[in-house]
Amino acid sequence: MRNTMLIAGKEFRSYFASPIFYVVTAVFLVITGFFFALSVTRPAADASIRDLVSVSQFILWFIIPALTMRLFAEEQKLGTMEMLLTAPVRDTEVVLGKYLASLGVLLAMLLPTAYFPALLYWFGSPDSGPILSGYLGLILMGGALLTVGLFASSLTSNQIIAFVVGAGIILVLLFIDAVGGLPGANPPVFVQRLVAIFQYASIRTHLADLSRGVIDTRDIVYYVVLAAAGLFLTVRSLETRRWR
Amino acid sequence: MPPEEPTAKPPAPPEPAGAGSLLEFARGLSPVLALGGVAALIVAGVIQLVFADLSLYAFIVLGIGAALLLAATAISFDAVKEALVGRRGRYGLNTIIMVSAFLGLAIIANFLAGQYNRRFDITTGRQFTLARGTVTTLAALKSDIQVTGFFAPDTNALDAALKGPAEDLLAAYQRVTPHIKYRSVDYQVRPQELARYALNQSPPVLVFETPERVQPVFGRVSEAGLPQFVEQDLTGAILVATGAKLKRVYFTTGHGERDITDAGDLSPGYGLIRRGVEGDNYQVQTLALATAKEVPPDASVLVIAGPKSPFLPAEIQVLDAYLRRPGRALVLVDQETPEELLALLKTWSIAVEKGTIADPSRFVNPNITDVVPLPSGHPVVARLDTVFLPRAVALLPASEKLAAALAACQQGSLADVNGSLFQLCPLLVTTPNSWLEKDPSQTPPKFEAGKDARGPFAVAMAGIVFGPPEGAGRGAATNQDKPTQIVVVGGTDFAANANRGLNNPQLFLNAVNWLAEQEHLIDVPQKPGGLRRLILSPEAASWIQWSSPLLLPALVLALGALNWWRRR
Repeated sequence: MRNTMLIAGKEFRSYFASPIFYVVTAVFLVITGFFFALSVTRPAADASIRDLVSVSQFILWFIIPALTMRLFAEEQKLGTMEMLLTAPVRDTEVVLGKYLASLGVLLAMLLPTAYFPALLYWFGSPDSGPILSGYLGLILMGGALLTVGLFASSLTSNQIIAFVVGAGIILVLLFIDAVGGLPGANPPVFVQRLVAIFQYASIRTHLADLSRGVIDTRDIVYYVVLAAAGLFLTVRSLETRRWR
Repeated sequence: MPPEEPTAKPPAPPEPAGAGSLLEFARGLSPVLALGGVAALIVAGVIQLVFADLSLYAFIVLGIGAALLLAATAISFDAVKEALVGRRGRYGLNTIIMVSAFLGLAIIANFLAGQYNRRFDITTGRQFTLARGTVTTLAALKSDIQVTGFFAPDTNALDAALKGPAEDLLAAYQRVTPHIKYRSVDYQVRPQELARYALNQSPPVLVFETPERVQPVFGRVSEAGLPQFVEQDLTGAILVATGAKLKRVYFTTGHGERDITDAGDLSPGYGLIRRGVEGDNYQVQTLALATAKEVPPDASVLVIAGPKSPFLPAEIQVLDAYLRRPGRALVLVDQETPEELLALLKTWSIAVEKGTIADPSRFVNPNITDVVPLPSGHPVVARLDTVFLPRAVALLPASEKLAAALAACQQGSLADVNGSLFQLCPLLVTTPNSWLEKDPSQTPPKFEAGKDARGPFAVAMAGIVFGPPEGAGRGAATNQDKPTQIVVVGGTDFAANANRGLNNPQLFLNAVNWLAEQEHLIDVPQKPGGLRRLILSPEAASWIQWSSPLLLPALVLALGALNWWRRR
């Protein structure tokens, strides 16, 4: 655990030393702020952050690969990967350390968005439940997607390729439920089941309830298992370097 | 030393002409065979899953696939062996097995999570938790109901605001039953679809449709003055669309009873209570006793809400005949209730004491006669924690013999009084510190020993009577199927529009539901406005518009610049 925290601390600090973090965070806040303002200033708007959560999942689609693309790709490009893998730390510790650092950065990015619910409390009387569950959903979804970006970064030494692969996988996870619209009316039972599976596999499906104030254990399990799968695959991906 | 003769290898036995090239050709073909085998296995699986009738063909294709794979393995045996048991092969296989095992566990975890999930609704008023009555109604559905939502979210801001919450509510219905089918139609784009229903009100609207019936639901105006779709209306529409017969509740008129058409926010009328009763899927009608020869046979519940002027003997006879039918009545009494009605209630076992109750232990400030009585365990009030009754009067059994009926309530039994069976249950009780103030001129009310009676007092009672109230005759056990049921509340202001806070309306609705034998609707409070609208002044809107997308990014960039300057 100590090694994990050491790696996490080093990576976390390196994020803040880079201008990329500030630029990416500023872009994230501009887009979320724009859509938040748009959603709450229309007539008879709901005093909630639901639209903000809904928009954030699409923004995270490209923000998260941008955060994770360098984590392993850069090590491979600079040749420090061998050093890292031969150091007296386990692959799991390396992966967990980098994951925790990126999770910390994601939380640091989300922190300023607390300004938006603060505005709601200032000018209205919002329901606190959906605000809390909305943020819980964003953190769970972000935490799961970070592992996808981490896995993509472990596959290549090229950061651009890592970004594209990560964004591609996240895109599939976001829109996999769209296949529900493909079968025509009254599809066979098998197709209906397949569509239901694809809809369950979609990240968007699981954020819907959380954004409106309903915490379903299915959604929690989905995100936790997705995060665990991403971390597991990343560890396996690093391990293959020893015998490939 | 003689030079060594070069040792020559014995010549290999000659291969049959063309054998080597055939082997090479077969080895080159093996990847194709393997690919063909895998493709055949996939095709077989698809045939089996999609076309269940063609399973014979699926097995044939499966056999062909297996044969092709075996052939490919036999031809390139060395390569397959190396891939499986060589160093890379072993590690690779190990990785594949571990990843497969993990994926299997992930699928199992999600499957179990789906089977045994728990949902926690953390919204105020549990907006997304369906009422028990709704769940019961949905669970009883046997055939599909098509729900069409007519919204124009792209051109109408109100439609845009209502569409999401309405669809959320319907999604909750769909989680309970597969028989709710929903589709959304933009009535600006396809007005002909809306015209088909010939509705007498403008959209947005949800239309519930079965082959036999169509029932539209429009948004109900909330306390904030904006419409919203509420669960009671949707469930009611399902009941109507499926042909369920709605029960009727009659409110008597002609004696200064509370006005059920007055829905003014701060008025003493019962307009909001009427909406609540309708929301629980009853048809509400008024009944002028002076002109009615009888209470209509379809009356599920008769409500007598705070009459002030005297009843004619004929009217009392109509009421008495109704109760003997046996009927169900909710009677709200106060200081001004006419004597004729009090006498009828006394006949039916409940007496009303004159005087106003003051309770210094539980009251709504500043008036100690606005008592907050304690609920008993009776189903009507079991889940109501706070009800307040302004100017409450005390209720008690009409005779000493009927004290046994009170004890019967505690035991869950019936007391035999002169051959009829009685049960009397106090619903709401004041504290022992309360007293009955006999002098209405005394302000503030003050307890005077020897003059004022000390509590606790029942201020709401439920009575069940099998047989005539005067008794069926000693030893005559009644075999009546259904009893007469009466709920008497010692207060009338509690259900007024102006006092709709706390659980006051729910006390009224629960009493109606208990009398109408709709117990599944009891304890289902109508949810407070789920949507919290943001009403912004132009200045506030302008501040949000500018500060949200610009202020925070500017601060973050400034921090970045500061960091860069420091590190430089």
